[in-house]
Amino acid sequence: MNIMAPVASTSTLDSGYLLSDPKEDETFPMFERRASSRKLISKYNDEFVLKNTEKTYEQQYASLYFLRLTVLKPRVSKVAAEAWNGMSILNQEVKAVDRVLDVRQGEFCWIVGTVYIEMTLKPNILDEITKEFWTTAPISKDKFADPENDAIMLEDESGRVNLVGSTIKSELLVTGCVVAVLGSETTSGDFDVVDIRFPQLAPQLPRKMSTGHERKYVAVVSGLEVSGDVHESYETSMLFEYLMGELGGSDDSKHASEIIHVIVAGNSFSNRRSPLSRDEESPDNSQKRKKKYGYDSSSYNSKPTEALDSLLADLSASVSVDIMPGDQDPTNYSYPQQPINAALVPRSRRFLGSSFRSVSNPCWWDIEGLRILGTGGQPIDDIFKYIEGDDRLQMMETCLRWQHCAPTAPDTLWSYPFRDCDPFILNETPHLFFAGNQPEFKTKIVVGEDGQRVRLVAVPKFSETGKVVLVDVDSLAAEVVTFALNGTGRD
Amino acid sequence: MAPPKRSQSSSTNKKPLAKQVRLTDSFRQRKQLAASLQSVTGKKLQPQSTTEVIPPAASQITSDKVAESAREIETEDEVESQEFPETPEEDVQRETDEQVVPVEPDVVEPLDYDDPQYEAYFDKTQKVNIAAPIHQQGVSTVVRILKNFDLTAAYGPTVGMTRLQRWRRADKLGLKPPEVVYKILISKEGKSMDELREGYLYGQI
Repeated sequence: MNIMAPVASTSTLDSGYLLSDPKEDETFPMFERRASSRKLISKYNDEFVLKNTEKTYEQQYASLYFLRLTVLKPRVSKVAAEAWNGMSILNQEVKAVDRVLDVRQGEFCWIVGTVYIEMTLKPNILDEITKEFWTTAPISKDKFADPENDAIMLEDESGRVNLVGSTIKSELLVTGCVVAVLGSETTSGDFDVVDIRFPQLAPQLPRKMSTGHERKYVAVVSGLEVSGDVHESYETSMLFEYLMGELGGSDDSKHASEIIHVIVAGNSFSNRRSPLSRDEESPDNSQKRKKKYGYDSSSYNSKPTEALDSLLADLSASVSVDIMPGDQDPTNYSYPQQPINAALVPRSRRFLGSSFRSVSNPCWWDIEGLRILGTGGQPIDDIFKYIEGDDRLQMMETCLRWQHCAPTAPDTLWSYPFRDCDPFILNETPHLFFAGNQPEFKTKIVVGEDGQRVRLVAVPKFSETGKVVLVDVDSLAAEVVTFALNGTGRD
Repeated sequence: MAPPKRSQSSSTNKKPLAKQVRLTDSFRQRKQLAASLQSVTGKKLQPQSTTEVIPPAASQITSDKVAESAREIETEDEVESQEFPETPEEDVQRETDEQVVPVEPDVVEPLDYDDPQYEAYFDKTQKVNIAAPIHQQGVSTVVRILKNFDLTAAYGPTVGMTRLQRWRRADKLGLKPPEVVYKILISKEGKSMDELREGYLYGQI
């Protein structure tokens, strides 16, 4: 009989190891996970988690842009001054101009401001209101960038100026990033850009390398989309068994025991609607449908929550887990997303305070000296919509160079109107920066001017690819473990 | 409130509290209740001989937290030191900067509207203007100074926050907002009167 055995990972398994007769004197080594310190950096995370008593919506979003410019302007001015001070173009020395509107025609100068890109294809609510007749339904597109017609402007407290020139067209810019541009004003009042500077990578804390020889991994998985259905993907249960060390031979268990922390980064709850009872949709029946337990069971399905809860509770007994919300999870939609209420996962909640934790999106960690910044992927997905390319790693790297992890907030990424501090500004560069729910797994190392080294990881959706990313805490190497059933054709 | 009945019934060793204390009441509320009872009866409540301080009616429901907090009150110190379990300290890495917490004087002074330093300060700020401000008859100097503070673009938007919040935000960002304005805002009138405390668009936006 040909049994289709699930292939656990790409490790080389001796085919006779699992399917052999039991030996009499066989010993099974017990692998233990070493205790590790995994903390949240409260200096940054406290600003993401908004207390209900302090949340107000009386302020406008202008405060957020003001804060961003005030904090990032000195940083980018420093970089620009180092690059351009003393430089002369056409026998004219360039100088810094404080306000955008003080630029004089014919003078070469540099200015600092926030980029605003006027996009013609960006969905605008005012267009819908002013239209009198509906012609066709708007086609939903992936991207709203139109390089020929988009106008790039630089804005600060005094006003805006249009940026033109070939240099500016080739740069990766989105609304909301703070840059310095060098150039001069043209006769039509636009600013012809010659050169551009970003704040570049923020300072990075040195990593405390551990002296032990054991390897330590942080596992990041996103897009689990647990549905609790009968046809729940087998790969999900394989993943959890692997993380608990129950899958594969002793090699796999040993590798799994080196995982000291698991981060579930977004979209853990399935979004597919599958009502529990499929009654006939007739008016008589719908009235007779009883409300059991106080809710209409045909519209609310509690299976995803229960299934995820039991998986996380099993996992929390074995390794410390952090769950981060994604854009489809039951928490607020605007960025930063508040931690998922632990009341949704009652069995895992028992591990709250020891090995289970619900964190905000985005979130900063410090795991054994490794500083991690993680997002559920929404800022990168939003940037993707408004630029031409699709290199996700380049977008993540540029976010680090802008020193801002969500520049499109609040323009196109819904955000809370922060009043006292912009929490998305990166005051330090992390050692690991990951974004969840990306289409495919990509990773690279980014090196900064002062020797900062960051590992960028685009974590793919587990429900589509079956991949979980393991990052070595000491060497910053990223490897991926794939779970697939034989014959499903996943790589 | 009628004085509590101190029933010395031999059937139970428990001495019921005068009011029905729900099990969800916090430990401190019970302590306050005990203290208030003590003042009424003039006698200190004796610590219960049993470990359960549960009113007889509601003895069915138990929970871990209640059983833990239902120990007898031994001393005042023990009451004060009992805390509810928090996340372990080593789990949350507190990295607070050396933030200067704004220290306000305990005694809030009343505002002297006719202080000459306000006139001098206001005249200094008006030197950048070409024309004199219009429709300003009858407006006190203090109000003019505060409105000028609102309109200074360097300190950011004014909508949705009090002037003191805006001042503190500007101070935290290192923009050096004027001390004169701070003194006005922490005075007694500056904290209570809407005209001084809130921005000039208050009530309109």
